[in-house]
Amino acid sequence: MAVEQTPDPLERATIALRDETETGWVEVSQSVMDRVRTLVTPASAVISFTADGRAERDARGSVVRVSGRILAPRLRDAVDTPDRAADSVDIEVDDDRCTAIRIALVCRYGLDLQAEGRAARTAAAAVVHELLGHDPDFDPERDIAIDVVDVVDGDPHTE
Amino acid sequence: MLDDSAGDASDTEPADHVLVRRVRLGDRSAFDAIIHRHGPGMYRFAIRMVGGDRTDAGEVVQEAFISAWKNIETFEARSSLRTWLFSLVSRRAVDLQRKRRPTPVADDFLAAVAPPANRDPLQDVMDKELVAALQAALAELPHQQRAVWLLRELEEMSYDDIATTLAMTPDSVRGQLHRGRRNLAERMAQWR
Repeated sequence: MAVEQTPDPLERATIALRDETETGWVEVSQSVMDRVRTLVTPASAVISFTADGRAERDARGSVVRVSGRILAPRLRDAVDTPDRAADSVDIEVDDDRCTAIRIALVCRYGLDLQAEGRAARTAAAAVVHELLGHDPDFDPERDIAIDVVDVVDGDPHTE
Repeated sequence: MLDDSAGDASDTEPADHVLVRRVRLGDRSAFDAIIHRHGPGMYRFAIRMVGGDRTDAGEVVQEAFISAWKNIETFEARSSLRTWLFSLVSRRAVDLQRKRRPTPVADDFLAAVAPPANRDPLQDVMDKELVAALQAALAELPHQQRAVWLLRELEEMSYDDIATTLAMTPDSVRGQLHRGRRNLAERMAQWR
């Protein structure tokens, strides 16, 4: 765009600067995404258990642990439906054991929120059982807390 | 102009706070979406903050996003994601300048500008020279004046958002913007 409209050189230059097309962002964005993928998020690891409630061990006898980086996204996906989305997933860890899980939900307006909460707890408990096995001290009914923190008119994933 | 939506989500795209929520739950694709949404504006801001060097600007933006990824838990919804990300760019640009003073206008500054088709070649040359002069004038401004001017004039941020981004008061923003405009006008006066 030609910028002759104003005699003020600063204004002309500012307009020209606004209208510029910067090159190179595509390459930079790929580099940024590649770099971020190499970074881990800080997360605790928790012990998994066998069906009879003992700490699971691998072939070398080491206790098997599951990272919170795996557990949290799985919990998020498990409670996700078209009508509800996780707002946060907090995993409490004490002495390498998962002692509590608190999931905050955003739900679509008009739903039976208690039913949504119960369904979310059931889904979360299934993930805990799948990934962490049977911890005799972990009671899903007691130790998985579901809080509906917001209700929205539209899609809870985009609002 | 670069196509960045300045944090405004369309009807089908998740809002910024939703993306932040997903990132906190370990969703890396949500962070990619944040990069695509805010990165172009951050990159443009970084280029002007480091004197036109695109390599340095890319480094600044990369470091800003790495910092955002590592500290997403500390991001508070009181400020917008956009102002938070721009504040990270501003800080990284300061860090880079501390290491690499002075910051001359890069040689490839003019070459990297891609003009639209059907333009008057003579006018293009004049525009480029004008922009190069402005970039040189910007490089002479103190960091804060330069940042305030860029965020206001190019990114069209509100005074309050600029204040949040640069950890200043809105009154300070107005003062810095006034001084920045005056200094730039003096340096550009020869183009009258």
